Amino acid sequence: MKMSWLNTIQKWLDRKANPIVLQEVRSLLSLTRTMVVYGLVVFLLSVSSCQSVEFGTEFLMELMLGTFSFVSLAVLPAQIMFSGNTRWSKDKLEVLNLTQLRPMDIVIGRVMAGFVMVLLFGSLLLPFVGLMYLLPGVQIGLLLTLIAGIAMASLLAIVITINLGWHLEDMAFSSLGKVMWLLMLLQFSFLPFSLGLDALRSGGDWSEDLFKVLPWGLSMWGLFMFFGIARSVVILRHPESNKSTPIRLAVSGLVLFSWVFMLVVGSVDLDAIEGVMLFDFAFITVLAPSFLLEVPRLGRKALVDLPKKRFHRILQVPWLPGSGTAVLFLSLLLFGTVGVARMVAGMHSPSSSVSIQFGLALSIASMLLGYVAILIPLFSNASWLHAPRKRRLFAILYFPLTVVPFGLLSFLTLDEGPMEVFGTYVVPFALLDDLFRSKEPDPNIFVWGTLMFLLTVVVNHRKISQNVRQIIAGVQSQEEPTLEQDAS
Amino acid sequence: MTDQVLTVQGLTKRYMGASVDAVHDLTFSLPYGSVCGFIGPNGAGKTTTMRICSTLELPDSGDAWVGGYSVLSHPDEVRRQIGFMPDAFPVPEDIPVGEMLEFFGRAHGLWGTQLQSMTESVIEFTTLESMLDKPFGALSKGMKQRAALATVLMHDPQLLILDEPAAGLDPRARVELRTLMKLLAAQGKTVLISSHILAELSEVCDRAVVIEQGQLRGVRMLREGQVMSEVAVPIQSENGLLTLNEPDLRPAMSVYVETLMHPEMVMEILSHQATVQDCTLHEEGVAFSFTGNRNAQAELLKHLVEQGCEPVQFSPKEVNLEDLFLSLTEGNVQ
Repeated sequence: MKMSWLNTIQKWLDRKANPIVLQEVRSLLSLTRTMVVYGLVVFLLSVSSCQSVEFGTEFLMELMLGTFSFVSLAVLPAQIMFSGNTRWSKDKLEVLNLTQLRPMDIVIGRVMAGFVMVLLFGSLLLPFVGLMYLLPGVQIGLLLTLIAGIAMASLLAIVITINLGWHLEDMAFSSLGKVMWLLMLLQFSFLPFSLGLDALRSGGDWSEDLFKVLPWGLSMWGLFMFFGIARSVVILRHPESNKSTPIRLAVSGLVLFSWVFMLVVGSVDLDAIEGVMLFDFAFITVLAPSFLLEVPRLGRKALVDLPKKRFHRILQVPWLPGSGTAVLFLSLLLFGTVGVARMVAGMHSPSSSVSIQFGLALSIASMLLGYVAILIPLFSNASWLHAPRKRRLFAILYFPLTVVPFGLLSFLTLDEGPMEVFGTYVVPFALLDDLFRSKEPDPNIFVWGTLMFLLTVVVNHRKISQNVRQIIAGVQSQEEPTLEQDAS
Repeated sequence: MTDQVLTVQGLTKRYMGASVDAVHDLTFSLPYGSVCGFIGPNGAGKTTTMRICSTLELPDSGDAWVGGYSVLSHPDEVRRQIGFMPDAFPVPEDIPVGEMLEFFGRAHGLWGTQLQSMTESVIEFTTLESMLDKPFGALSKGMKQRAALATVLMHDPQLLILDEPAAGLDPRARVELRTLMKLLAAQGKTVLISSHILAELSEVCDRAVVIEQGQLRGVRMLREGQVMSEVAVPIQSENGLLTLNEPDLRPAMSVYVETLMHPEMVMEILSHQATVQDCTLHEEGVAFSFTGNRNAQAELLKHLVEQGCEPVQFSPKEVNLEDLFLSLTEGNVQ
């Protein structure tokens, strides 16, 4: 009887097994360096557990957390970045599009394969955790929570590493990008380790603090996981698909999260509103290319799924592809952020003068929107940008183009003088923090903000009106070909 | 249920930044069980057409149907019915062949005994038994193509689309691939195969689609390497009227005639003959396609003599795929 039950489970697993998970775990386990790393860790922990009997458990705890953090946040992503992404480069994934595997299966398969490796590594630690349970003076609950936290952080690192690896394939300096990402992960791997050690050493009632942070941490983790997976799925989707809706959903989720966060922390600390607003602005700036370089015409599936009622279609406008709707969507997010911040600040201090200058924030949001919405469509429609190599150049230049002038001119505006005036004209982020707190911000920034907003609408008016007309009429545009098709 | 496994209708595709269409208003169809050579010079639009039929590209206009399913509206159903093998089959190089077959089988939804039996039959068909433990990257070009074909066959597709499968193969590997193609044809699979090696194609194909500059130049039937002409045979119906029967296949002939009469006059005489097509004027003679049998050849020669042409040369020659390719294409690339 038992055997038949097991047999049923085995058959179910055989039928449901994601082939990517099977193949990836097989390949990762067959790597000699995987075995060397795992073997070394077990050896070190075995030696230190012998010592812990004599010298106390602290050293074993540190070593265990340190190695788990290092392996799951740096070594495993490194393996995925180098061997995994070479094995599953985008051109190789194309043949998988001809199978019954959908892009989501491929991405989830790769993520789950990484997570299986984390679990396998975590299982190596179990005997040592058991040993510590037997030894006095160890908060085993906190230790297990920390291990679970590191495993979750590792899962996020795997998701972003996979996504980044596929994106880097289109970049000229992909090897450099991979190394830089791994250096960042290496630094990041020390963070949960040191935080964990602090928590373990300080003792006290950790569960109360944990429950305060947990909902926010889990929500943020979930949103970034969704965002990372959505970005990867979008890369692999068939050209007939609506490519941008998952990203729009992820961004909407993150911004919504920020708004709720503003409501909660804003009632305690007014300065936190500024922080959340800046986070939103920065996030939307980074995402702007995804929106504006997307499939310009309505995806076939998006059209099929369009609701029959006009009002419902209009409500869907921000989630439909097309650079025109992208501008509308970015406007809603940016101005929505300012609006929510104002509402929260008003709730916090309805009568007194609020330090946050919302006119200033609105101007900055307008400039930011103008900056991305004017520049990017101009670049994306330029004929010289149609060759894939040139688009890579543009992708590489996007961040310097947006970040370097901001940074450079904010530095220049530190000094009083003509450069400051020039800086406020050109740079939306020039001394943002100081501008927020300044009693008398330069009026040029308001002029510039209004001008940029008007320019955004003028430059994009054709696309905006075209998209709105399509949505209202419920017809598909055949006007513009897709950049993604060109990439293939 | 249509009797055509693949129907391409008005397919047009232009890549972004390109000044001309990669494929322009292309229309052709393939019946079940046919083996079709898809030929054209480099840049003719063969790969683009194949990628559209495989749902990897979207056309700007037109559509293609595989087994009655549109590549635009039912890509998932189309993918179940096709096996597409690009010229360089992109698979992870470090995966052993056996694992790769299992992987693709699972990716096509096979599992358990079905997966096992399909893997075994594909291995037997492609004779890959000794290669199962070797990583794909360690195989020779010929073995790679064979392994790639095995992965493509794992879900038993009705239509195989093979893009330049013989490119870069040595003579032995080519012979082996040709044998596999013949076996596939014998199993009733429909195959659309592109290649520049026309001699190879003519041995396995029963028809050829010729394209150039993204446009269809012609579709011809092939029998044992010879291009056939489709001739509608007039028959006497019961009511005494002449009607045209189903097309009859005859070997296509190209004939060159040289006479003492001026070639333009000869061409005028020939143009009124039912068995003569596509006359081309040369300096001293006329070349044309001939659709008749040997008796008809004799009749034609007799007719030319009766008309006072005084022939000095009458050279009939069977048309092979190479002749067809050269006659239909102009050597232009995009």
